[in-house]
Amino acid sequence: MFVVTTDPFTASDLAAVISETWTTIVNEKTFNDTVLANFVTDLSSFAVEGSDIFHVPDLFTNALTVSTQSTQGAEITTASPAEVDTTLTINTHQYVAFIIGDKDLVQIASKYDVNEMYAREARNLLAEALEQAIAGLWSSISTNAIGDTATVLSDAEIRQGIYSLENGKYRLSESAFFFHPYTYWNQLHSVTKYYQQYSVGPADSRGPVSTGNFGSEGYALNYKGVLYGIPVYTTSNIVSGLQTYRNLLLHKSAFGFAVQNRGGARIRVQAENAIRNLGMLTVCDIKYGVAVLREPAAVLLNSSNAFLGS
Amino acid sequence: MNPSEIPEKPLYASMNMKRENPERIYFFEKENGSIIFAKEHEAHRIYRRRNQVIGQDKEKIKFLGSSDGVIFFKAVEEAKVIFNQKGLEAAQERIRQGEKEELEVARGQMIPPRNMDAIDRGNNPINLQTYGNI
Repeated sequence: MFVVTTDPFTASDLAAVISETWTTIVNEKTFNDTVLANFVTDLSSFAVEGSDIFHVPDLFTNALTVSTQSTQGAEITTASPAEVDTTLTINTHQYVAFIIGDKDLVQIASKYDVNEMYAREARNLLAEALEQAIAGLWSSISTNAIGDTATVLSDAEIRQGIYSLENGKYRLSESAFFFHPYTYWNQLHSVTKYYQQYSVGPADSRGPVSTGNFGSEGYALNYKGVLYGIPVYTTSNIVSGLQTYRNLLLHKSAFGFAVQNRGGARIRVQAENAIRNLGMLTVCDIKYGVAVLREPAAVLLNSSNAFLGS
Repeated sequence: MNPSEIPEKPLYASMNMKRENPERIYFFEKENGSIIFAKEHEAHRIYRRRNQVIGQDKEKIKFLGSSDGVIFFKAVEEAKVIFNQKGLEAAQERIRQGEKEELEVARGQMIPPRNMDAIDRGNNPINLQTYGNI
């Protein structure tokens, strides 16, 4: 026999005793892996002992030449090509700073190390700032610029880029592609040649459709395998403008950077109890310069994000 | 498929139907006469000549002007229609034309990129002395 109840408790009736729990899980901001700064020429070791300008003698602009000894016994002609004095200046000092008042700091639940979480975010922001500065060097590339505002990146452009580097006598074994994820997923993966079995290999080979990569089994550090023997990396720090991505094919000598910090780390994180403000002040900073070291050793691969390949 | 018939371009291409918002764009002319354009953050670096090219004197880059990007935005929207009617190449041509039209609108509008040295969490420039938006 049922007992008829007319007025059961509702959740709002019990609101005073229903608890809420703040979990230990915190959704932090996400960042790109560092790929450009890990690849291009790093002059930071020369900046440890000070200086703001770093000279890199350029012997390639004016090179030695081969002469022919057409008359045996004749006096030889010696060559003395003028060296070019080139420099990289550390000219950028960026920081992220925040302060949390003492009252708030002691009242924040002990399970959350807020200062540490924000310090981590600040450090990653600065790492991305350096990446963006390196990617921003695309605007100095003139010799090898391929594609335009309306280009759907194709295999022809990829090979054209590789040809440009090899024709300039740059070692392909020291080069890498850097694509924006849009270009990588929406355009490169639609190139038939890249996923058909005849190029993937034996029938039991795992191709791009299976792995998402060109010959690699994982996504660690945004490494996406190899195209024509050249490593491929992706990063959304690749610059865009007017819906055009400035993808890059770089020999490692094309771009360079130097970071200068006391202690040698790329990014310095400092925190102090700021009595004047009654709070904990945290400052992360980085001092760097970026430069194009060898302009012909970089290839700009423009691609439009107005198009999808399928 | 016979390898000689392998297409280099995508078998099918389609327009990205996601509507991008028009964005302010800054045009520059390089010493070799080529035109480059950039969004505000990057344009600020170019405008302040922060980029270095080793082996050369600092590249002389001429600021041509800036615009709100609406003309190019409309060209892309038109290209989506053209794509369905006439195909990929006609759509690409409309986009290239849109870039030229945007440049003509920008030419002479000498509004430089804002100083992006100090930015807030929303990537907007701030005045550190007043901590107010510029």
